[in-house]
Amino acid sequence: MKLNFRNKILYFFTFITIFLVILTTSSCRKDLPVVNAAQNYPGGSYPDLFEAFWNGMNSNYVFWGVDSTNWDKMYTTYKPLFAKLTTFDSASESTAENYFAAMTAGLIDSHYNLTFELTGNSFSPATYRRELMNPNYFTDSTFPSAVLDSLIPYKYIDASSLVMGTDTVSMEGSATPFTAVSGTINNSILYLYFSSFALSQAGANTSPVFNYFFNMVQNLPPYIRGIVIDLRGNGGGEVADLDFVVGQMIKTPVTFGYTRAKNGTGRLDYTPWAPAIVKPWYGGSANIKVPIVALADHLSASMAELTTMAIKTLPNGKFIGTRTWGANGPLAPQVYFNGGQFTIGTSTFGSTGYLFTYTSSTMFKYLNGSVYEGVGVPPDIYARETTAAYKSGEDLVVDAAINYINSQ
Amino acid sequence: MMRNRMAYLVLVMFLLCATQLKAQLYLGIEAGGNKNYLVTSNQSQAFTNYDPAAGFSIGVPLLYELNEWFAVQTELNYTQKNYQITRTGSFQGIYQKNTNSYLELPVLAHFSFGEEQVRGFINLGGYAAYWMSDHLKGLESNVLNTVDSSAGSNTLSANTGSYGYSYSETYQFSSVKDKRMELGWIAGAGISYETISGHRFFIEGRYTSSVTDQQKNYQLNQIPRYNSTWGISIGCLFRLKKSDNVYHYVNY
Repeated sequence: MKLNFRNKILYFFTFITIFLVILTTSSCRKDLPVVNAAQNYPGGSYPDLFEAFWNGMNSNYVFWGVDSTNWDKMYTTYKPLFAKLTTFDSASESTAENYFAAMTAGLIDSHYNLTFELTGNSFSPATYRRELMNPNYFTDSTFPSAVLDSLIPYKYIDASSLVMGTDTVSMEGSATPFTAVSGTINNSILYLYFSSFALSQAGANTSPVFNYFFNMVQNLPPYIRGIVIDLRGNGGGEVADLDFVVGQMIKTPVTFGYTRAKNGTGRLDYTPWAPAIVKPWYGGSANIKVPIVALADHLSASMAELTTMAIKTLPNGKFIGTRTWGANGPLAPQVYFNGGQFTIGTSTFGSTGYLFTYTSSTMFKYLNGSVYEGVGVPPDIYARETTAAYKSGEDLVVDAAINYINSQ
Repeated sequence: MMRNRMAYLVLVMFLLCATQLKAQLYLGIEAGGNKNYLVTSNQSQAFTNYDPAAGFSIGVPLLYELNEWFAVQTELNYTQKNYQITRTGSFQGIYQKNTNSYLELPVLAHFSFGEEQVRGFINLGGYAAYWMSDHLKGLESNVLNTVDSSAGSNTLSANTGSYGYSYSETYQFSSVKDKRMELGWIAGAGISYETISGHRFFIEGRYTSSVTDQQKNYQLNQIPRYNSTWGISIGCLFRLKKSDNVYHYVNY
């Protein structure tokens, strides 16, 4: 049946009405804001630098899911304050640096560091908080270095087995001393100390140390009842050293935790958790069954902590010492994981920019689901060196490791 | 807002005044494929694209014909609104496909025209949908499963190859971030063929567009995400009820 004229009119108007309703409703979509990468802001004023930094942190900081810092409140509080800084002069720069520090003082990322390129000043929230708690936090333990000079090599290591040396390596662009010590203790415990994870750069003085230690590992004499890896005071370094160190003591891959990275522009956009795996070293490994003890302390950070946790996960592994620094998130250039470190102000201030934000690219959680970022890895057995013990020629942490191994 | 209310009021008046009680009720089944675009912005992410992805839908439409040219149609659909995050350049190989399952309830004005058996139609209306699940499948760089080079140095490779982490898992919704309810509008057009026995076969092309963000408003400077879906479906409607052939016109 064909439509009559009135029905045609009704048909037309009903159609147009609904169509207009839909057009109206479709405009309910919000406009997509333009949020540039932090490094692409011009940075020619303090307000612009603030926007670059705040937005850079918004999308690149990997700990928003567990960090209690109210980042939105930092925006509303500090945006008007930065707006009052209208000229680049020393007074404004000092104020701006204090503002940036105040905004980030509570962040849990214990790798986190701000470097202000105009003045050379820097700020580390983790260091700031620890020194607030204990002004002597860093001086409390110089024992790894001190004991290497006078205690462990000469009081604990069997003289005939002692191998030690120091080379200079490049750590994040800086020439850094790299020291390693190995040998046996009481002719029954194999000991290794190294000051940072830069084993690939071992030179003429430290290569013999690692050659000795790993040759012993891969051909472990029957009189060796345990292995001690001393990571006290070790600030971390190259990720690949994990397989080189721990991987030479296992025959099958071991999962010791998980990492996740940013996967979107929102603060809570994450990738799935990927397993953190230490694999048998491709150049050969041994199936070590004797106890493996990691020694670590409050200055053990980053790779030292990951290695400690990897050893903890082994059925024959143990962590003896004190709670570590709490910097567990691996780092890489921002473009790799769409997160982590970034520089602002390069358009105005050149390639080094105005502010370099050093922060983890991924977040780590231990095998049991615990996130130790900002709080440190707890020891299996607590042991802490004291000044009195040191002066009397004792390393209480090494003593604890010896006692543990002898009890197994 | 006022304009919306007026439009709705006019619509209701026309429908009430144009009641032609043909009272045909149809129930059916339909299925089809679609391609969904996640409309968002990600200038801050280098070498990263949000790409459209294909999905499918199945549903049960219910059509109530008020007269020979106008009907009200509602449906209960299972529909996928998928998309893929793809890295490019040196990071090619890293990707994540999101398979999003929605339970969708459109309410449509169905306009038809043509002959007795072969008719064209246009569907216009809105929908509400519930985001039931999201399945993630992809490959990501794994920083703590690095390549061991002969030099033993850190050889973290952006091109993960066999050293990346391949995953396939159910996404755990965040009560802070994820908005499970979605609202939007629909526009579709198609052709139907009805047999003497009252079976109406149809094919329809449809565009579905959300007006609500896929995320709750949980942060400042948040970039919204909207689903825009192009689909095509085929189906069959079965006539359930037909009144006597009496037509009433209400004059006004």
